[in-house]
Amino acid sequence: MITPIRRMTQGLFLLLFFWLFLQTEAKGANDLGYPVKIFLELDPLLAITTALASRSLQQITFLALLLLAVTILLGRVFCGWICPLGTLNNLSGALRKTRSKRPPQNIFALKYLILLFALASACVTVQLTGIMDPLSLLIRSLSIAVYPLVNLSVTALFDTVYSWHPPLILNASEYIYGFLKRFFLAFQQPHFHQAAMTGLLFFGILSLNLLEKRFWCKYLCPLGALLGLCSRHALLRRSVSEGCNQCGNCTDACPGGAAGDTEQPWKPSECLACMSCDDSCPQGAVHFGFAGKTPRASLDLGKRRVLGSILGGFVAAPLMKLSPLSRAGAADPLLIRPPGSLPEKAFLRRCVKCGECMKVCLTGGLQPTLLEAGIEGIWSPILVPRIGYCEYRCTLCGQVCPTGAIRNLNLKEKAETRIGLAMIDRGRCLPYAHAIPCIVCQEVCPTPTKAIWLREVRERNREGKEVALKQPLVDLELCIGCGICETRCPIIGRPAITVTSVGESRSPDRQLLLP
Amino acid sequence: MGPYFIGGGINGISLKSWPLYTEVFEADKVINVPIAKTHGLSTLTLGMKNWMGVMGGWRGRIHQRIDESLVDLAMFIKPVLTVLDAVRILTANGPQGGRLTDVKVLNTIVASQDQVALDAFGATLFGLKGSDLGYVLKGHERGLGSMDLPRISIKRLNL
Repeated sequence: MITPIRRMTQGLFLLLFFWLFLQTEAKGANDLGYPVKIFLELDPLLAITTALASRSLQQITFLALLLLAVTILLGRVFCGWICPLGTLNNLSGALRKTRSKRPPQNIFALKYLILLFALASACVTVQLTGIMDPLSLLIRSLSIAVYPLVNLSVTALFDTVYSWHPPLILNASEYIYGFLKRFFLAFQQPHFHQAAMTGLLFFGILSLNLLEKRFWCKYLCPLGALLGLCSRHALLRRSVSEGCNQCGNCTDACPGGAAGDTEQPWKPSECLACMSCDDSCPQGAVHFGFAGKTPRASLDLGKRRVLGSILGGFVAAPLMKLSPLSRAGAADPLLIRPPGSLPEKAFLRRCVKCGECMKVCLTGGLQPTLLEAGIEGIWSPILVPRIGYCEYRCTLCGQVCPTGAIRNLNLKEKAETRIGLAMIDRGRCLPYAHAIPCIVCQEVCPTPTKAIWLREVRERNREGKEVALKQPLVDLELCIGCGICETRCPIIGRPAITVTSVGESRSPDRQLLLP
Repeated sequence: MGPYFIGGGINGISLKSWPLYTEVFEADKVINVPIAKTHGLSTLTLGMKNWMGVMGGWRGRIHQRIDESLVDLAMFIKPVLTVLDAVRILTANGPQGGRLTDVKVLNTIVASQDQVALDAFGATLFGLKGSDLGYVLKGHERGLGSMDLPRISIKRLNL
């Protein structure tokens, strides 16, 4: 019986994945201490497309090569035994008890076409893979939607119990809450733009498993397609011996739609190597092994469809680049990238929208974009200072970025990296517009010599009485655009001091001051 | 479980109510342990200014009437003791930011039951007088404590 061993393996990898996900949180030090991006580094699809799009071999990690080698030898064991999204698909599929014995739909080719589109567009420098790469998609969905949702629900539940104050139960619930708070819950409730949209997409993908087991893995997953292509000549093969009486149990049990009986050949590129067919065969006729020859189905995608996907990928590039956003003067001024981000064009070639940077951001200021960076940049990170600022002594986003879109800066480099500039709206600022004292922006400014300084002035109020005021000014040479002034500005709603990306260090063509 | 307590009863001159940490009011006795540093509006952060640290909400608004608001808070919270940490003081670019050259080592700790007296004494560490600080002056006038240092017994211990 292989199934229990496989399920245990899947469970262990899923737990490891969740545990690393929970460790992707600032805990006081500017260092996480765990290899939180290891699953993303294991992903050969992200490695290959990033390498293609960025024209650099730097992202081809050892782990990704290892996974390719394993797949060439053993087939899609990653899909069947390791992939955390695959395991979640398994679990959601289990919600449906009975299924009709309908054969799977003949749309296996779709995932290969998606893969070809992603590879072709990467060749012409457009990195769209992250949108559908399973690991990117999973981490993004968990970071932006699922974890905040769970956190909010759990806290609300325990708050309700607390406010009811039931004797005895309260002691237990407070004990459990204390435990969860320490090991599971977020330090602060995360809030993200597009949480609902990302969440619906994710739960939609999981609910497809009710239609067919592992719907995503069979028909849509581009990583599954890549691994499928690699596993066509895998040494680990499935064979059906003479004992087969064509009962069809293996075909029904197969989550990948790969298992055939003696009549239909096995589809190695669709096989998840889960070996459910072996376990389900009442005759004991199905085996996996390294010996012997076995009939295999060929992979026919259709020439025209292949050509169409590749052409589609090629056309994606000029289509994306048509946006005026790529011109320095027309770029969205609110597109404030995390510190250490590569120049925008290079950044977009690498960012895989995995959401690790947003998960780890100490203040919750890093948010997913919608269209601020064009369609190409959907769900890439942007600092929204009204939600959270960039902490002066933190470089975690660069540490967790799996593709180097955000460079891993040291603290000295970080202190010298400008992500934008703050400017004061004198029509809203209390000491300017209303002769009311306020110095909050200057107080919180973190640079060694404060970039915001105060000028003492005497103004007359309505009664004609002279009042002494301190008015803030921004020193454009010293401001690094961290945005804490905007976060903390007491003018709720539209603040009196705002950061825009003008002057950001990474863009030579977006400078404001003469050198 | 919520971290804040709606401080309905401040009833001060400037602050009538504000969300404040529950823990401060659940404790049997409250001891305030501030660090001495500069501040752009109130000049120095000493004992009374430290009460901003137990405020929730958009506390940045209190800078509009900072001196009166700090005295309101100090009169409402009533610590049994204030211990000023002046081992190292930040003399410029505070309260956040600054650099090591802005830090002066005094190796001094000041303790008092009188919040106004403590802040008045703290001002002298920066070469100022208690009356230079608006909230010390207001606290003295409103009877929270005394800034009249010559009339206060000050014990100096060298450890």
